[in-house]
Amino acid sequence: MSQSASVLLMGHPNVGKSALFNRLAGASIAESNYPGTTVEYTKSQLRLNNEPVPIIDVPGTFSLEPKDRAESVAIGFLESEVNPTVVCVIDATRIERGLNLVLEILDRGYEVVIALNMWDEARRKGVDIDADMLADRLGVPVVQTVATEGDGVDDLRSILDRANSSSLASITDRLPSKVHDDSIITGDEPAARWDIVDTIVESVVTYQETDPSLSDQLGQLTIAPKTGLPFAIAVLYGVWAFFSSVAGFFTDGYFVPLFDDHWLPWIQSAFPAEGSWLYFLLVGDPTAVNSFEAFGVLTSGLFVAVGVVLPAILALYLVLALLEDSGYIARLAVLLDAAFHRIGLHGYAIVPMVLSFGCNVPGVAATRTLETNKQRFLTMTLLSVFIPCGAQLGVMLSLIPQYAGYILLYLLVGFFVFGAVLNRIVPGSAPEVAVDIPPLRRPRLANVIMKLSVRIRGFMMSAVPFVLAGVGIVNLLYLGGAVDWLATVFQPVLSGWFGVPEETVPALIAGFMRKDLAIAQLSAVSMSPFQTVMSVVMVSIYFPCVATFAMLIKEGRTSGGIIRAVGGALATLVAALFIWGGLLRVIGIILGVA
Amino acid sequence: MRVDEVYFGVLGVAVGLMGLLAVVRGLGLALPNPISTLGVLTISGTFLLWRGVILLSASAFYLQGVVEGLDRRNAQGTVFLGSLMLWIVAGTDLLARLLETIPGGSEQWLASSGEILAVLGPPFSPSVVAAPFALSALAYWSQENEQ
Ligand SMILES: Nc1nc2c(ncn2[C@@H]2O[C@H](COP(=O)(O)OP(=O)(O)O)[C@@H](O)[C@H]2O)c(=O)[nH]1
Ligand SMILES: [Mg+2]
Repeated sequence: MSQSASVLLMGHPNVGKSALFNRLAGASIAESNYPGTTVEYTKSQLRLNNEPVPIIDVPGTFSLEPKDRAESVAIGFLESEVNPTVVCVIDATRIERGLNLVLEILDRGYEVVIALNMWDEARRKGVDIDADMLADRLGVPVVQTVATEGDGVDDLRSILDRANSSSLASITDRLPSKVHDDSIITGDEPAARWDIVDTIVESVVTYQETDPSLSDQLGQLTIAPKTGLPFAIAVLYGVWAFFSSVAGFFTDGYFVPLFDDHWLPWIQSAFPAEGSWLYFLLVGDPTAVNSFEAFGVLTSGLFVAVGVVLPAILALYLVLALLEDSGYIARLAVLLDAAFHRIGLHGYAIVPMVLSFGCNVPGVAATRTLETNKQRFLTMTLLSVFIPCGAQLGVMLSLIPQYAGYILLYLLVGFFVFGAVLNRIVPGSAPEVAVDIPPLRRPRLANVIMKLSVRIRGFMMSAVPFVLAGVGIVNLLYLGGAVDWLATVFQPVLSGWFGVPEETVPALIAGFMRKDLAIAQLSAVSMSPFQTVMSVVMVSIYFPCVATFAMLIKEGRTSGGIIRAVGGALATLVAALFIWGGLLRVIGIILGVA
Repeated sequence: MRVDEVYFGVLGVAVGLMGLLAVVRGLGLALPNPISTLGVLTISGTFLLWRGVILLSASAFYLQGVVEGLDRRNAQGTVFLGSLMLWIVAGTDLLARLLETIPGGSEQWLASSGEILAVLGPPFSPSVVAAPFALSALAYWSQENEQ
């Protein structure tokens, strides 16, 4: 092996590549207990004999025939690196398909080391693999690892420079006679490759009878609709209750009194030149008594970003991380598969969807793991139109707790209704895929904390500036008279179609920057309860925030072209805004509340 | 009949009754809150209907486990899942109470320890009452680890 050639970690999704990467490189990237976490590659340095060697965590791939973008990225790596050392990571509890990929990689002549990961789980399930024999048969080094504990990682590191290539012909020669027939040597034939896999497995793996464990039983019960659906209700209730009480603890318990009673009055009086444009920009209304309504960069801007949205994001990401790591999200996906099929998606659309509840940006990015352009377009569009992000939910929860649940429900119903319609009219296919369910595991604290801190840091760096800038821009537009002008222009549509006052215009402008800010802005407008609900729904649907929009453009480029993807998304959201928003008004009129 | 079958049978019926009451009250029917007669139990608050539905399902899981026979792993799993649901509701319920109290209202940043302890006392919601009894399902878990 040449010294500077890179090390590629390859294997199926969810076998522990990222966990091994973190151990080998001392890095910290997200490991999640569901397939498709790593859609971008991550590169780092590994110290090998005191020399830095590049190491790359490649997105999971099932085979070397790419089926989705993440897989193409993976295969692209393999082909573009010069003499890479490929660490094939195999889930020891599912050794067959892992070996199949190994054979494919060997067949192309790469130098390979095998990490038999999840060794702990294999042992618990009574799967015993003779690693030495496997190494002999394949002619490449094999190490048993438990990536989460770091077991075997040193062995793996020390064995990297013994990576080997091995032809399928030589492997077949070393096998017991059964498959010794010449037709097999062409390993490119999938069936022939599977024959070799079967023979290897037969000779190196012994299965002991074990009772299915309680967690296996629970795993089964959580995906059977009869028991799984009630349990899902309990989990979702728990998520919501946890989210609202933790976010409320920080926001209502501490930040509201801190900002309203101390910071706001202080800055209102201490900031010089009341009445100047600068005062208006940074402090806002000198007579405001609460931090939502003052609307200056340093008052509402700071308050919304730090006092409301940060706690909400923290609470939400914490439960999401727990759910991800326990393997429950993938089960939810299976459970909801039938519902998703109606809108042309499969259950795995739940992964981008769940991520979107944190923030739409990673949600849209995660659509990359979906198979066809149609599925990607559908998911991307529906997410950015109908799924409120955690920041937005946090502000809703703090301003209108009594309606937040209903608004969320109305948006989710919209997600499925528009999904079903789009599925009819968008051309393309939405193939069935076998969903891969990871086992239920106890979430690991270290991993949860690591993921949480990465995401919170990301939030602080990207979202906070947008919130502050959003307040600034709206205030500048006020000063320039643009807000008043827009309000007059849009007044007929706003009051005619949606039945909301023209004072919602600044909120709609703020919504271009951040949805959370837009909803905070709405609190300053005096409206009936129904108008409040209506305007929150409008703000949620009408346009994705800048960051999401940028992501839509980026992903749209590779999902059928920018014009088609983004144009389609915009058309959908205009239709959704008028139809779904108008319908809400009709419902309000029927109920006699509008 | 095994001891655990009797135990979870009784618990299942009790949880079911509380769940039924929660659903009925959650739907807005004027059944009395048991707090008036049984000082420690209160069936009220937000999301009552949903919590009632969860209690009813947990009860159904218990009863199903008992009917199938708790010597079977699958039935033990069902009972465990029911307990898990109770713990989720009870846990978030206590957490919400605690987090609401800790900031201590206006003019103070931290409630006194007395105030904090008081909210952890009665009256309790049905899930909190049932949760400790549901803990015995953990036996199925530890049984397995001993093997
Ligand atoms: N029990 C056990 N869990 C593991 C092991 N390696 C990884 N995991 C868990 O398996 C899940 C998937 O790991 P991840 O590194 O994200 O897989 P990737 O998709 O291949 O990158 C995570 O929940 C990990 O914590 C292992 O050796 N043993
Ligand atoms: Mg990964």
